[in-house]
Amino acid sequence: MEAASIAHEHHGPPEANRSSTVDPQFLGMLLFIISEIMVFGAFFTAYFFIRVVNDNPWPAPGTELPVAIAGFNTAVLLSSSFTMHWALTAAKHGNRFALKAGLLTTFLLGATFLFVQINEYIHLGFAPYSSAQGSVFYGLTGLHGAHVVIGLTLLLFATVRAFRGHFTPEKHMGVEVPGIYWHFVDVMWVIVFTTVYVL
Amino acid sequence: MGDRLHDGLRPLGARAAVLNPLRSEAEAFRFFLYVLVGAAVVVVVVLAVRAVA
Repeated sequence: MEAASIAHEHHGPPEANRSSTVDPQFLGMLLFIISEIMVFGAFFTAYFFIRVVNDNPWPAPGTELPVAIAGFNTAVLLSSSFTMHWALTAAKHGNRFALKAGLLTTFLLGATFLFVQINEYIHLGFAPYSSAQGSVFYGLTGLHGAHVVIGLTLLLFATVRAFRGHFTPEKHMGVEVPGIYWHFVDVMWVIVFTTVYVL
Repeated sequence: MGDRLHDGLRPLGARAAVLNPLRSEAEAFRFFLYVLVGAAVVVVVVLAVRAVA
């Protein structure tokens, strides 16, 4: 009788277990980024197989990569990591103007990067189906571009929330988690740019 | 037993000295700077070797 009454008190599925050491938001982002690193690893494996194992020329003969434009774009994206860090530091110190300015600048820099990359694709002169090198080039840079889109979506939410008065020096998880993701996106671009464009 | 083991290991909740870029934005930013410097060094070394060879 008693057991039956206890069973009737709780409705729906059991409560999710929460770690005592890691916040759910951090845990989710941590697992997501780890899975993303593996996805990038698969694409880099294809790149190294074509270029190192099979010793193919890079880029494919008759094609050229716009290193100068990509270099400019790299500077744009990497500077967004600094503005992101500035925004979170401002949030921790209660500087609302710097928080909003930092998040908005980060978003605009990321959007500029994406715009320049799409423009680069239009004028490249080769397609993903042109050669194995082309497939890997579009695969790696496109995969990274998709991550920039995800990052921009997170940043858009954070920016809108900042302009609506959210985030305090004590509660700024909504900036911290997108910040970690944004630095991950920038770290991946450093590796992609170095291997694909420079070396 | 609490969060401290009796065999002298450090507490589970203690902040590890190892850089973990997924622990906070500040550490992720620091890791980003390290990668940036590392990539610059690799590029310089490879270009120097290519120039010599």
